[in-house]
Amino acid sequence: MIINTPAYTVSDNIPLDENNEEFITAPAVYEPSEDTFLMLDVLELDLEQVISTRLSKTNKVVDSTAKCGPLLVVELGSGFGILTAAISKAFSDTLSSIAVGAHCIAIDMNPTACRKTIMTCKLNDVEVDAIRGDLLTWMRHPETSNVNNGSNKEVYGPIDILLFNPPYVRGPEGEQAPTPTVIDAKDKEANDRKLASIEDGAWLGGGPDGVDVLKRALHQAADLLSEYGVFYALMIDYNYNALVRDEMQARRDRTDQNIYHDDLNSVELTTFGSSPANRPLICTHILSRKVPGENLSVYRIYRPIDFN
Amino acid sequence: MKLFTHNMLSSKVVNGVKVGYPLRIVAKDIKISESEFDKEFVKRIISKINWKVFVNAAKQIGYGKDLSEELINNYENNEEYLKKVHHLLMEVEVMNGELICPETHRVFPISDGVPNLLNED
Repeated sequence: MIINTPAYTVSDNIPLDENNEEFITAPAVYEPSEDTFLMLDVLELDLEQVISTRLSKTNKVVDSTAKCGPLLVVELGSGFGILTAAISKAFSDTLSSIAVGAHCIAIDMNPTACRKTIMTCKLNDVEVDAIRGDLLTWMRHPETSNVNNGSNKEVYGPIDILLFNPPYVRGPEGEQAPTPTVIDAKDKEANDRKLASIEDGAWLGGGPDGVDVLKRALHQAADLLSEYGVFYALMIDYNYNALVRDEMQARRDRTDQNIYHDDLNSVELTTFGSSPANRPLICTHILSRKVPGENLSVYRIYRPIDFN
Repeated sequence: MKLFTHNMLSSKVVNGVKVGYPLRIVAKDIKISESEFDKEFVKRIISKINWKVFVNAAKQIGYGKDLSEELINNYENNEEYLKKVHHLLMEVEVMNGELICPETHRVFPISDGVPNLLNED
């Protein structure tokens, strides 16, 4: 096994650490469920191969070790932090023979989820950073903040592995997850109401095809993924159908005569990112599972290596 | 929040902000934890960060006074230097404090080690 299911607890009143007072985990953080475990199975199935065939290409220096990394891993909507804990543990353990390590950052809008993620990681003896934020809007953009190596090549983002189990259920058009507001510690009742609305709202907002939040994430990811980076995203059948439908519509509206790299398991996504034509993404099916009422699938989204 | 993470943060989420990088840190609480030193990891992670921003961030929270704004030559083989960088990148954590947007001076709080980068207006 590369990826082991991490330990986690759903009980209340767990101290964060000995220096901190206890806090109460609100019940409305999305609990690990079939979709979470499908993501874990996909990492087990796909990650080692992705590291050795794609991410290892970032090694520009040829030196004593052939390992790749360190890699930057980001999870969006981390909730309980199961995926972040599992991948972080894998890098310090089963994947340590092929990668020197990873820095993991978990994102959630819900402050309780941020804490829950840190707790789950502590329980599994891994250190991660959590950020309260909206998808990738907190991240510096590569073109405005160059790192040390000033190469004149096309600038890619810093994220090597991006994970997202998005709010995928259909919602009324235009319905958005409520934006969390500053919480006033004095008025506990109003406070709790606000928190509850943030938590309930966090898995709404998918729009009529359940895919609005994922599309926003894809736009940002297209600019922020590293050259060989990969984005694992969970969708249900009508989410994927909507993505394909939008892509076909965009192609019909276009005047150029591009050749697209589609096949039975993949579709090229040409509309995401700030310069989509230069760096199209491929969305490839990895694994599906039927659960009552839903057909869940995980896709890997990445730039084809041999694309010119 | 570790300084590696800080190196990635921007306040571009605020309307009208052009770059929003780097965010200034005001630290109220700092936690030092121990993490295993891996020479290879540190050596390579240096190429992933904006060095100058990292050094300035360390200085803002009262560390890294002996680091210069330019990476030293031959740092790859300087174990003392790499250990210092490891400590600042991986072991020093800002638990409570503020991040400040360089353009609008908008304040983003850090509490229990979690920075809040939501645009809450």
